[in-house]
Amino acid sequence: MRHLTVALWASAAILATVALGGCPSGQPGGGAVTPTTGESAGPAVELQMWTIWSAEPRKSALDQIVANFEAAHPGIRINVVPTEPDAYKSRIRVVTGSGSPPDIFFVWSGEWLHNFVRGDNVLPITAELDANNSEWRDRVMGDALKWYTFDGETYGIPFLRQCTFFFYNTQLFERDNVQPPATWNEFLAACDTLKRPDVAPIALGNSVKWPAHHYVSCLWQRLMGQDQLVSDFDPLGPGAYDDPGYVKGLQMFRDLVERGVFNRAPNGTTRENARALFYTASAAMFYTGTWDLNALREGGEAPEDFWDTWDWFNFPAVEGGRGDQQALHGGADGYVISSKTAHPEEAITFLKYLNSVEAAQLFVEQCKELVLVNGAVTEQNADEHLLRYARQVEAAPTIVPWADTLLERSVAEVLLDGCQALVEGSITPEQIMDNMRARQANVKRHLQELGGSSMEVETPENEAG
Amino acid sequence: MSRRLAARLSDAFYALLALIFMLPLIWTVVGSFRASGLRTEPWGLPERLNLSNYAAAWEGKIGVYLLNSTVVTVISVLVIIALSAPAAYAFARLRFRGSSLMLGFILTGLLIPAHAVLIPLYQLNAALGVGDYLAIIGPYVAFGLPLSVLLLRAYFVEIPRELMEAAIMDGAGHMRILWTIFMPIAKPAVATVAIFQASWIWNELPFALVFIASGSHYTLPIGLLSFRGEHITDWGAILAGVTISVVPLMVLYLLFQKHIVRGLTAGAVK
Amino acid sequence: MLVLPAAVVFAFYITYPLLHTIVLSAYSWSALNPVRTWQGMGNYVELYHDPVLRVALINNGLWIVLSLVLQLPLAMLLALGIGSALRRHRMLRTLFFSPLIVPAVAVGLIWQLFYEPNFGALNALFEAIGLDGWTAGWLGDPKLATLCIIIVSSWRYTGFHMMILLAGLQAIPDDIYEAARIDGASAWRTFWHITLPLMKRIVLVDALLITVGSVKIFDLIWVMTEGGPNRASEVLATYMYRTAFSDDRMGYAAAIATVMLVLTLIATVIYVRLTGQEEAEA
Repeated sequence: MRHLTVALWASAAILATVALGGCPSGQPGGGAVTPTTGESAGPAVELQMWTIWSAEPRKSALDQIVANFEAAHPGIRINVVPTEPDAYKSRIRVVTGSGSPPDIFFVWSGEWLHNFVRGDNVLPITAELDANNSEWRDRVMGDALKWYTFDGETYGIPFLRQCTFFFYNTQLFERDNVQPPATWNEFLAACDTLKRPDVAPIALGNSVKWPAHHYVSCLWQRLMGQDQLVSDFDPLGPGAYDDPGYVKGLQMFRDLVERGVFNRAPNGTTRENARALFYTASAAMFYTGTWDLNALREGGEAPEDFWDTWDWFNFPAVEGGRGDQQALHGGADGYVISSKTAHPEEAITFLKYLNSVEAAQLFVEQCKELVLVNGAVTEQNADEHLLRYARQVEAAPTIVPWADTLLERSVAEVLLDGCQALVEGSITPEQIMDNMRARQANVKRHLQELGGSSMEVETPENEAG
Repeated sequence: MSRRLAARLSDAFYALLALIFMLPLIWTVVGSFRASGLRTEPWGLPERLNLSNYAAAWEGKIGVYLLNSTVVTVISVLVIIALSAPAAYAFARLRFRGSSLMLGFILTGLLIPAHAVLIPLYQLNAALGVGDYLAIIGPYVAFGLPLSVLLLRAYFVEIPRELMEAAIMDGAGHMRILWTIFMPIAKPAVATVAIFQASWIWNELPFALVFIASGSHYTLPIGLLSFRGEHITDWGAILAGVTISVVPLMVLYLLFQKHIVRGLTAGAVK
Repeated sequence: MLVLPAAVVFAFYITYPLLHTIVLSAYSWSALNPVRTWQGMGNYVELYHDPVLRVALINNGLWIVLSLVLQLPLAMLLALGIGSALRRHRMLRTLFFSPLIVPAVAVGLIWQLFYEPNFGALNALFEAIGLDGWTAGWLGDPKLATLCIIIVSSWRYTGFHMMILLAGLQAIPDDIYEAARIDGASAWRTFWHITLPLMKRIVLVDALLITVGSVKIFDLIWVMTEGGPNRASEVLATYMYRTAFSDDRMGYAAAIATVMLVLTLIATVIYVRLTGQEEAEA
């Protein structure tokens, strides 16, 4: 046995040494041998670009944008690697963690991106945005860039704007003579009126556990305002959560559950089935994102007779709340450049192109989604829904990110779990806040050990009242 | 009750049980021909023979993924058997010091979840400079070994000692005994190992997802996932893809199944 | 020397990365940050007080016990009942094996639709036969979620265990059965006194496989509930995955992985002991 073990380890060691010594390490993009530019002007620069747009129509739209870009820039090739969104989260972490990230990659805004920025994985592009009288910066719609900005540096471009609204069935509303509610009390009354044995007032598919949290997230914003949330959520802040609004918001959601407004077993219902409840008129309302626009309208998964029987309204105002009652809620997905890229200039050139009106219009044309480039959505490339949505975004005083994208990841998980437990009634609002405080204290200790007060979230401008 | 009737009844019972077992697969095949309504009426039948899902799956390069999966699976299974058979033989028949410790060492591999070693393995692959096929075949072989060694060893132990002793008298070496005597007798176990490893590798996801860098080397499970978007999923195409991906394994299974039965009827073990 | 090639490959791709993981469990670190801070046993101390770990351990225990209880007898029944060379038995075996070749993602989806509380077939079935009280949220019910997934897993793997037992069954010489038949032994007695003792080793191997599979079960749970609702169906592997890739606490995740490894070692030692005894008796 002894010499067997020795032999075993010896050969493993030899193998490892040969392997480590014999091969160049750290090929970008994980061992895919890419022709890197030599000193000569021969082969093109190849950039790896990772995206979650693996499904149609986004996939083809991106392919086409890339093809157009390559035609205009013969010296640069973009190798797009699409990955299914859920899997992407672990995949990008693994490759970043082992030091060979792709040159350009997809990010979700807020803490998800911030986490990458803290580890120094992302290239700031502030100077490029500001060049030529900040011509590039001005192209980006609204204030979305602020969620890509930390400590005064901007780390990428927001591209897709997605907001959540209450979608409602106009026929069911008409049948019960209900108007889209503007305030929380009107909303509660509407729920009571709409409720029937075969109709749930609201469809909720909470098996992935973040849809329920949207209610809490919105209520918190309405009650306390965006600025307070952002500073309370700062993982290096006090993390006291002593505003009674936190418990109140959770309680308001719990009251909603107890009122019986949701379909059967929301925690066992997928988002897709909640959507199906909505378009089969088994539910009168559905709080979901604009990503579902395509499923509900012509050509979507909903049956044809449903296509013209829905509309949407913003989350109702909460009486006596301190936040901006007209604010929208949403996120801004985008792209960043790796700080480890060997070709920063070429990567920036591509990002700039991706963010151009030309590319954005192409994307809108094919995907019917809102791209955060001024002038991207026009009467030629969009339908009435998208046009109306774009106007709403333009007019919004502010667009508040959902709580789970603002909170540090593990603290966010505590909130999400808490909301799921709240649906089944196995936890109290106070307990959820205790759990969040405890988790955040832990995170704070860890971040301080890493040493860095520079990780503070940049506080966005004041919310206009 | 006559013996015949009892046999009939028992067969009917198993057939019914099999039908219940098959329902999900039948549902998949039926669903792959449906154009709509998979969510709201999950048990509906296709209105007519609709091939659009297959067209979508084919458009999604399912053919390329099929080829990739075949290459990876065949190579991995062959290497697994080539490596595990000698080891199983040694553990079953040779008394060397520390053999049970060594066996325990390899068996620990059974319990290791892929995710536990994902990052170190990725770094290893990057350091080796291997990507794509090689990057996943290595881990597949390593993770396939414990079960194969375990199963083959359990089978080898049952093979009568006299067979081996007689061969040694004839001057045969261990390798020859293994390949000319043990392996033919152990065909059922080898076939079992091959089938199980193949179905595992064919459907493996975490490694393939992280280690395969280029889209042209994607295996089937990743290919299937690419029909799942962030918010909208083309379940029709996925079901068509699943149907396509199940066929090769089904054929493999039917082929190997014969060997398992032959092992029995040949009555090699006496 | 026959073991060497296998052992080298194994050590290279599994043992080395695993040791790496164990070392990393002593640190607090993020995949996205090169800075690692030394924690010593800190992660393990936290694990000891972690209520989610307790839930996961209990669930893994449930997985082991229920999987053994459901799969082993059913697999044995199948191996005995349709294990012959008859063509129709071969066909039936293929059918029982077929769930295994469907990718886990697809299996999860199909069963999700079956359990779905609003449109799903299970609730529809209960309503149709007048058992309205039996309808439930299934995967959305913290008390039922784990059980529901264990049933799916048993459905998926029973055919595989049938195959393994079959391989063992075929090693039993026919003449022993012949002798038993001439002695007039009943089917049950034959099974209990001849088949089972002769198959003891392969049954043990199979039991170990089920145990081990239950400790590292991941994909079905991830696809169907992601460990929810509110962690009710969390097991070690899903908890580790979430901690590593969602919470980005790699050190803590490595500590969970190490706990899993310790459990393997225990299961393996028990197995080696049991089979070792066998060999000594033989």
